Amino acid sequence: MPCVSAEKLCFSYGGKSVVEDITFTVNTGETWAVVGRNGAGKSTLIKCLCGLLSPVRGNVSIDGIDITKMPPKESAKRIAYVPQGTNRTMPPFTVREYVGMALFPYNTGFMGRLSDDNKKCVDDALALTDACHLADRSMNTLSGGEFQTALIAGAVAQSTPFLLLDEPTTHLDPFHKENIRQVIERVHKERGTAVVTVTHDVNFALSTHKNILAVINGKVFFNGTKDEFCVNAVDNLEKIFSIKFRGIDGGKNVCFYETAE
Amino acid sequence: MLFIPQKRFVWILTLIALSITAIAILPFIGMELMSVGRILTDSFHRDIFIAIRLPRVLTAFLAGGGLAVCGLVFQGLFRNPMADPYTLGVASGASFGAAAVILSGAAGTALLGVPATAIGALCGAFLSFALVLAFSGAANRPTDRAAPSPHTILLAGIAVSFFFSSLLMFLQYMSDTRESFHIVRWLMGGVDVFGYRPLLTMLPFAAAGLILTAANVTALDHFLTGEDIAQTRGVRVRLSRGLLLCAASITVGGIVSVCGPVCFVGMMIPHLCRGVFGASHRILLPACLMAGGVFLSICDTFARTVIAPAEIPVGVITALLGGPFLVWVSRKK
Repeated sequence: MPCVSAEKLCFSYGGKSVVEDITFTVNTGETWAVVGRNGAGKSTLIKCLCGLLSPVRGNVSIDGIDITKMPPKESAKRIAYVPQGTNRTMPPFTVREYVGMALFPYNTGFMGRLSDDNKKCVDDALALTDACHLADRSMNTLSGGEFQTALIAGAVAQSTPFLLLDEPTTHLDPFHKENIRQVIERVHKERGTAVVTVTHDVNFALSTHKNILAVINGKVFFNGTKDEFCVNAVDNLEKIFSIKFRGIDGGKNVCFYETAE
Repeated sequence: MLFIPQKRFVWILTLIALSITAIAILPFIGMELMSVGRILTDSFHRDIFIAIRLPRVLTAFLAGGGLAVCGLVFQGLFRNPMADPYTLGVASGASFGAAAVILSGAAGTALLGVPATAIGALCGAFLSFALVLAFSGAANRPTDRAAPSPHTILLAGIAVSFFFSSLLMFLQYMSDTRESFHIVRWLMGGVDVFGYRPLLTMLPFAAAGLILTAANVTALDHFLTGEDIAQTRGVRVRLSRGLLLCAASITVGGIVSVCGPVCFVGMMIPHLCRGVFGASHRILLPACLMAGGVFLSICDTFARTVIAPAEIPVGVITALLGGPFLVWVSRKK
């Protein structure tokens, strides 16, 4: 079964260790939330997973092949990455142009010309992410929620079995947060795409993902299913974020909020 | 000027029409206005038209188009609207090369028909490019697969640029009045060429650079969205960036060796084209080529007619016209 796995992964920025000895596997069709505090190493971890950063020690492999040794176009056919939507200095590409650019690993046309198949792929991605109405808008005129949707549409057009998202709902209002949540769920259900989401929004993490990887100071604190996590959810969350939490509904669909007590 | 995707096609057709018109009409304009009938009947005028005016317009067109495309490439690579073909010190390297040849007294000579100053400029351009790559490579972090960052290269370019400018000042200081004037005149830039030799000198460089740019044009689109996205979409960031830098430097080197550092075209034209054509380089590349060509050939026509029979260096005109025009356009936005 195809999988992305990190083996004893270590990474450091200028001597400061950020990811320490993380071993973790994502199988086809799974959904994972990577939770932890700011600076815990979540983003660094998924940058290593998609080959943006080369680990200092350990390795990341897709289907058993070391990702840093894979030709870029080959890894791009397997893993798509949506960076944090905070950097919105995007040139005035139309959304359709931006999504079309994602077909780079498949595209062999002169000067990036898209074939009819490519164009259909773009339309499908726009439809699946509910972004058809944005298609002819310019990327630099989109609102925060629309921008995030466009970024995800691009990653969906890349047609990969694995999708990595870095903080997709940070900075979004509840309405757009729910939108993004539905988009992610739809991509997972209809395409069978495995999703790994980095987030510090615990309700989003627990409502949308079947598995949880919790990271504290670059080390794995919890690695397992959401149900296992929820057995002791309040406790776990308090350890991860070092503040008090309270669950509203004792059952499975819990809503946690931070409390001062 | 607002970007409307549906209107791009109309604009491209307009540019094609403008380019053809410029190349067809401008050679008739000069110190003396020529008519088609006169060129056909009078062999003296025919000689002037074919041997002087036509190659001059063609050279200006190719130089303008090439510089505009290089500006487009540099602005895209560095995600910096201030970048232009000379950002990496290519112009100051070329100027130093040309000045060194002028000082050595070899300015009048030629190798295989290529003037020695042009060869000096070309060598200087490539030397500065090689230095920039070496400096930015030395500052590269080993863990970052996509490094060196655009900022590192930009800084290296500025450092190299100042280095060669100082060397140039030193050479000028050491030279006598005649040589010094020769250098200053070269630095003003101009398309005052005779015959087709200069055009043929820069054509291979410009053509090679343009083809290499066209082959990597999708990568250029990706650089604008950020290197992280580019890399995870399968772009070989380091390789593509190297090829694009190389392509632009070859083109600029070829053009500067013939025309000297004609400034402003490379910075202004891509800005205007982005306003009209949006961000996709697949369309911007031919658009800049044509717009730059039309712009510089018109400027050069001004340069050779305004104070005829004398000429103004075209570099003076481009900056004089271009500065206010650019300010006007950005205010309109």
